Amino acid sequence: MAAYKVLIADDNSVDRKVLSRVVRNQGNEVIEASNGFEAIEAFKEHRPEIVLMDVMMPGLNGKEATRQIKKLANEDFVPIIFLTSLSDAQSLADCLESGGNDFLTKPYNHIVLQAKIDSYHRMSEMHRTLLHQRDEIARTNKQMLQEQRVAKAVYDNVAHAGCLNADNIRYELSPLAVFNGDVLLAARKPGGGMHVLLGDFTGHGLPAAIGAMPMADIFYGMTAKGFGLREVLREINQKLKSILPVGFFCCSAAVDLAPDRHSVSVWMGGVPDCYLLRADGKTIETLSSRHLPLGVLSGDKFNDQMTDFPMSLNDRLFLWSDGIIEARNCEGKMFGEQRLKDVVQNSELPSQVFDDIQKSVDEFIGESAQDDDITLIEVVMAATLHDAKKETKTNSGASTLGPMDWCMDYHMEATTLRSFNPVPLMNHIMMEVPGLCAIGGQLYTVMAELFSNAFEHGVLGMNSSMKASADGFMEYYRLREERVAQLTDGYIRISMKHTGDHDQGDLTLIIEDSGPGFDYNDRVFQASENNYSGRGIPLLASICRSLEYKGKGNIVEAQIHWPLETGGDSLDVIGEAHEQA
Amino acid sequence: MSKLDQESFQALKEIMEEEFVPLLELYIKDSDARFIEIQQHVADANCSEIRHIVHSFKGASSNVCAVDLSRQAQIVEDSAKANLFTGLPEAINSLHLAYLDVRAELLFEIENPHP
Repeated sequence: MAAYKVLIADDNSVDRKVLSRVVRNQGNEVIEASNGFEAIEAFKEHRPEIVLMDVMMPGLNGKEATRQIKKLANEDFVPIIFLTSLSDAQSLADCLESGGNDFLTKPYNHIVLQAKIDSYHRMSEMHRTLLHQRDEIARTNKQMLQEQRVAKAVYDNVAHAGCLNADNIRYELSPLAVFNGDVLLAARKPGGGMHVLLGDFTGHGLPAAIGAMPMADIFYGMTAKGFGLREVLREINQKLKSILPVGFFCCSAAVDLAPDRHSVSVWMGGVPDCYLLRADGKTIETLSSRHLPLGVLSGDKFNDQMTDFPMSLNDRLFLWSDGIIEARNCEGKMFGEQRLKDVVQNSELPSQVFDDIQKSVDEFIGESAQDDDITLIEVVMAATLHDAKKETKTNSGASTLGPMDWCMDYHMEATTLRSFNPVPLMNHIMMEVPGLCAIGGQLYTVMAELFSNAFEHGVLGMNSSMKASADGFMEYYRLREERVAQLTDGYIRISMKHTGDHDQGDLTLIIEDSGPGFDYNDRVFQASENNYSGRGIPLLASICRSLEYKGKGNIVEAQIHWPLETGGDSLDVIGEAHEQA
Repeated sequence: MSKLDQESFQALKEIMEEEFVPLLELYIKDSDARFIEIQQHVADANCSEIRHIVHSFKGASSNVCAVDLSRQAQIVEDSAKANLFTGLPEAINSLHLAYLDVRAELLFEIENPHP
């Protein structure tokens, strides 16, 4: 039998001696006290596990001593058993009222006495275990919260590294837990324009956040390197497919905003209908999901086809996850698509739609608890999407010497051109030169435009005048899609040559295509934007020292000198936009 | 005839072992003192004090197996609790006489402890 430490407080010395002997004979250690004050002192000194307390004692009586001992015991469970010769129900009940756990009536039954001591000892043990486990849980919980805070900081660094705070974006992300199943990503493209992605992972919290990390990483990394949104989506899909368990995926809406082309390309998979609100505030175009969510299909089955819409200055794109539509009010009714469309339609000003949606969802939900993440983003088409701050910072010159004197040739045949975009790779090579890296955005624009012209007009034989009307715009991209799929002949050759030193350098970029070319001597190049709407040539004019068409019009040579001259008037262009008649 | 419950008394002796004699001596010492003290309170007709002393005496007597004596003390305690001073001095006197019988028997036990 385990030895328990028992405090016996009784002013009647004969009673105390007998009880003490009995308890000791049962294998316990006994501490004696002959009044309430002594009992409290003995408790402080010996910390007994159980107290046997006489009710009536001179000085400080048993009830008052009990109160003080319970206070001293704090959260430890110290059972106090009252000793009493009183036997009426009220007196016994009074004992328990005053904080005692039990009573024992005189004369004592030794068997009952030992049984009670054992029973209370078991209870104390349980209480100790409980406290221990409580402390353990509290400690673990504290550690978990700490880890979550660190993880959240890492997650935020990865997921919110973009340009969500750009002037043309407004968004709401309401986290249901520490982590949110919804993801919003936005990044500027090196050549201007913007990629925006709204994702809604199945589930909430940690499992959802884990998928969001590589997604954000790929999105930002590939966008910065100049990859197109289709390639970014393909890579994200591949990654999610390989890391997420079956049944976990990410409903997404991805947007490629091209202000220079006045267009937007949209890819939607598994998200509810979104709206494109024209600047007049009246015309609403509905954008619908045409794909399965990201992370469902394997790479060979994944469809990266985007839908193109003309998008003019101050047109607004509204994207959301199903959280808004499924938001429930107190009666369990859902907000629904109709209510959402009504808000968009009935807003007085386009600029108020975002606030009106938030307000009307808030009013609808009322006091009821949120049962999904509400994520909403508004993207406005702006004239330029450049980040002025970043531009000045990266222009501040290069200090380390990279590859200075080099040249390269890159020749691509039709099968390569069908599925491969060489712009990121070319851009990457140029970025190795610090002087060129400082003007990375501008170089990307030159490379992307000239390659796009060579491919679309030269190899595919597309006519950009088609894009003048809205119908033609759609038709242009449909036809382009078709011709790419059927492409069997043709080539593009990219040549680059760089010379320079610490302070300055020259890059010669030559792009040759297999197209029939055009008679550039016929027309005179004019750096007027209206004539080249959607072609980007005027933009190139401000970057290149010279831009020259050669051969039968299927070769273009751009000379770029760094650092860029601020005036930009030295352009000497022969020929016109390379286009098939 | 013994004033003690012999069966319990033997059990007590076994439980207390070497502390048995000191316990009996303690009982006699405490009780003697109680009866001296109680006379003072009788003179003052202080029922409350009488009640507390008799209560303790009752418990102690019960513990040394003086069952009848303990029962008699209970009656006195009840009267004192009810504040019925009339007849209380006589009852205390009679309780004292009963105690003296028990005391004599215990002293005999102390001097001739059974093996």
